[in-house]
Amino acid sequence: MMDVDALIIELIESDRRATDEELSQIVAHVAQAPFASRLVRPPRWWRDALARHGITMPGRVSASEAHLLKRIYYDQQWPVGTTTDQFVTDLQLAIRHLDVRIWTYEYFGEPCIGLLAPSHIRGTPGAKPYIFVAYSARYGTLTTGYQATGPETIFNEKHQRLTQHR
Amino acid sequence: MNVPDKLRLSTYTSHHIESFLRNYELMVKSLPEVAEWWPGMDDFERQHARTAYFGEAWAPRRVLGALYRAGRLTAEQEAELAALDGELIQHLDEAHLCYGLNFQSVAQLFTWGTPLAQSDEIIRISIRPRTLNEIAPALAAIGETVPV
Repeated sequence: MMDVDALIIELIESDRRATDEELSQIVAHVAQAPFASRLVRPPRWWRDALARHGITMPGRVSASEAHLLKRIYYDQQWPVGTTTDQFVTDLQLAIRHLDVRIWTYEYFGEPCIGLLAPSHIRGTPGAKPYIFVAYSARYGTLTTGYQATGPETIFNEKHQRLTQHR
Repeated sequence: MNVPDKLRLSTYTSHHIESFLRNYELMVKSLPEVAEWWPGMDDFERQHARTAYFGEAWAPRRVLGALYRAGRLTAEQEAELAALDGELIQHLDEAHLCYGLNFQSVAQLFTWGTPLAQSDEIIRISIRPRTLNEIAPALAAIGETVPV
C-alpha cells in the first residue's frame, strides 16, 4: 500500500481523482494527524489585537496555539476556554463527517488536502456554516482549521492544481 | 473558483462581512513586519504566514468586492476597505515578497470591486522593475489592442 502522503502528492501531480478506497485512507490518515506545532512569530499588530482581549502572546508560539487564539479571540468561532485538544477534536469531527468535501491542491507549491464539512460548533458570535481543515503532505500535519462560509471564501489563485474528489 | 453571484451574496450576513474585513485587516497590517522577518524565516514559518494571514483574507477579499458592488457594505465598512486596499497597494513590494502579489493583483482589486476606485488621492506604489518586467508582455499586449 502506498504511503498516504505519497498518495496525496501522486494525486496532485497526476491530476487524478481519488478512488473511494483512497479517500477512506486519506480521511483516516488526516484524522489522526497532529496540528502543526513548530514555533512561529506572531506579528506585533496581531499581538496588540489579542492584548485588547487581555491575552499576552509571547514573541514565539506554537502554530497550533497561534491558530487557537485566533479562532477564540479574533474570529470568535470557538468558545473561550477551548483547549488545543478540544480544538483538534472538533477538526477531526469535521474531517470524519459523512458529508465532507475533499480537495487536493498545491498551496504555494506545497501539496495539501483540504476538507470542508458542515460545522457542529454552535452559539459563538463568529460561527459559520462549515469547518475547513487543511493538511500538509509535506509536513504531515494539519496546517489550519477554521469556520468558513464556503469554498468561495477559502480558495484563491495561489491554490494551484485544485481538484475536488468528493 | 467562481465569484459568487448575487443570489449567493444574499447569504452573507453583516457578521460575515465584518469577519472578512477583520481578516483582511490582519493581513494588511501585519504585512510590513512579516516582510521584515521574511529573509530569516524557514519554509515552515513562511507557509504559516501564507496560510494564516494571506490565506484567510484573499478569497474573502474577492467576496468583499462583490458585496461592495452590490451595495452591501456600510459607509464605515467601505471607508475601511478603501483604506486597507490603499495600504496594501502602498506595500505591494512586501506583498510580492511574501504572497506573490503583483501589479495584476492590484488590477484584481479593481475588477473585484473597491471603493478606492472613487478616490482621486495619489497613492505611491513601491515596486521593483523586475516584477514589472514579469508582467510586461501582458501589459504590452493590452496596449497593442488599442486602435490607432
